[in-house]
Amino acid sequence: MPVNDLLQLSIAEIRAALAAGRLRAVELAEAYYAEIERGDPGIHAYLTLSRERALQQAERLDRLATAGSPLPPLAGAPLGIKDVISVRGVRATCGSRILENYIAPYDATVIERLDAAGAIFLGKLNCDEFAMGSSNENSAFGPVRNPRDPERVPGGSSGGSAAAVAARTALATLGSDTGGSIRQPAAFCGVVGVMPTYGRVSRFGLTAFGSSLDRIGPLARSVADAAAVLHVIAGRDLRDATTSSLPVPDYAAELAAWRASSAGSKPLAGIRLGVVKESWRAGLDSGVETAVRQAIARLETLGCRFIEVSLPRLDAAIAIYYILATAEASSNLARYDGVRYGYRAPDAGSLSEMYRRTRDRGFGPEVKRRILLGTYVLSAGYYDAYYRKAQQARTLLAQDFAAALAGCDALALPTTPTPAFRLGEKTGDPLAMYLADIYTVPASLAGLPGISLPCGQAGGLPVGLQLVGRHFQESLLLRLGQALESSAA
Amino acid sequence: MKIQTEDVLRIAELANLELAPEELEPMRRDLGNILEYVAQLDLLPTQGVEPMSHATAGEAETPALRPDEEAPGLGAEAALANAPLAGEACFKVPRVIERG
Repeated sequence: MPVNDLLQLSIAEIRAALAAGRLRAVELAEAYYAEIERGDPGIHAYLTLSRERALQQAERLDRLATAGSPLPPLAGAPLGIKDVISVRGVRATCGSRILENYIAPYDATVIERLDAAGAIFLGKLNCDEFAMGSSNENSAFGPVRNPRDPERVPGGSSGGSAAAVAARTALATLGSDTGGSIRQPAAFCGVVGVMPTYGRVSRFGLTAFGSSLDRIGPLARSVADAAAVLHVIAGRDLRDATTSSLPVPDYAAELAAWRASSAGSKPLAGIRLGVVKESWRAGLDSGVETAVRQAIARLETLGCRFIEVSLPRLDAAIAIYYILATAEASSNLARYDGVRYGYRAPDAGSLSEMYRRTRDRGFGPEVKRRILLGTYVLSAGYYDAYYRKAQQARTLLAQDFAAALAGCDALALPTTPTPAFRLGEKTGDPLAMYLADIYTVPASLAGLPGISLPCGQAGGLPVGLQLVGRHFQESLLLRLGQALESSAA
Repeated sequence: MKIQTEDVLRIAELANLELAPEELEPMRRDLGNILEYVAQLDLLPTQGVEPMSHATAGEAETPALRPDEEAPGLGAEAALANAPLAGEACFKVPRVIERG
């Protein structure tokens, strides 16, 4: 098979080609590594390649195929993994100097499951330090460039995860989303990004940032590939007590069945979508607005009925988020002290000096800013005014979502207020960078699932349509996504 | 919310961070701007509202407890493999107690 064709194959096509003996998993993995070698130096999506483990897995799958044994669902699928997720025996820097030489001693639950499902891990992907950022410019190892325009950021914090999918240096990737870190880079790079319901996917082996917000999810070129990965990683895990024991649907099979049965012109008839009226606000780029409204019109053509809904406390979301996420981060990042792993300042005379110098030199400016902010809002005398107040406001925002979703099946809104911005454009003003998360942070706070779907362009750059569903209603979001995707083709 | 350099130093100490002198002023300014922005929450009436401390949905299907069963741990060797300094199956740190 010509290399260019190899890189086009979907997860289902790869499995079928392996089973039919038309493709070898090693050949496919090597094709991806060649593409990484050729394309990644200009993008910098990868921080570490895990070639040895990848090829061992590929050989195992080739032996299975040769023996005519049944192949697992993701057989041979070459994936990239965000560097905040542990892959045993492979460096996991989290984009930070403080973990520059840290080798993960175990597999995250999602990695264990993907491994058992036959996926191949090409390597670890660049991200903002400890997943804190919206442009990937906070990586200690240098920024990622947007494959659609190398002068622009890929978004963040899962910038490498989105860029690798867009550059075809991975078939699909895992990212993590705390306030938009899967959906926003997916929108900026023109790929599909899924943030599952809080509790749908285990966080065991994900480096903690904001534990009440963190989620792992897939980024992919197509909704079907994202669905296939999500199906494998979702489900109860005894090592993460916040995971739900609700059964996991076979998302990809559902999509295939639905596609086969929806030949009519109104395949989405009966589905009610809510357009969030507060979406159309100052700061929304007119090109983004046009593309999002056109996508909504397309869904309407396919049979969706739209109603207007309101999230009256949307404006409070960024304030709530940057109190709660930083408070949780200040606690979670206390573990980096130079004792058990990672960097240790060599010149400290006492234990407390060692802690402080290690952390000062090991963390970058944005991580320090968030640790300080989180420490401040939790400190004596300020806890009630900031932290507790934000938790109460979070309750109100979650109630706004519940009210809006009582009258419709899912919400439609932009993923981002603008298309990808230029490198360096926003680094001088942290607050301005935070405010650009206005469309993604609310669903994060409410614990609801969200998906970002490519929906045209603004000024030649990709735009994302975001859909937010009820708890554990990923199936509906994927179905809407597939319909939108097919209508664009 | 006016935040002073002394406040930044106090929080840094609580957070076990040693900020270089040139880091102080930019940090004071950024923290001040962010705190001023989040102060908008003061205008939101929240009296009697239950604080949301987690995002777990469908609590009936999300059991917080698991069976108490023995399972293998990481093991001392793997646990120590990333330590900056280790010996005799322990993490080593600079001296904490001075000899009398």
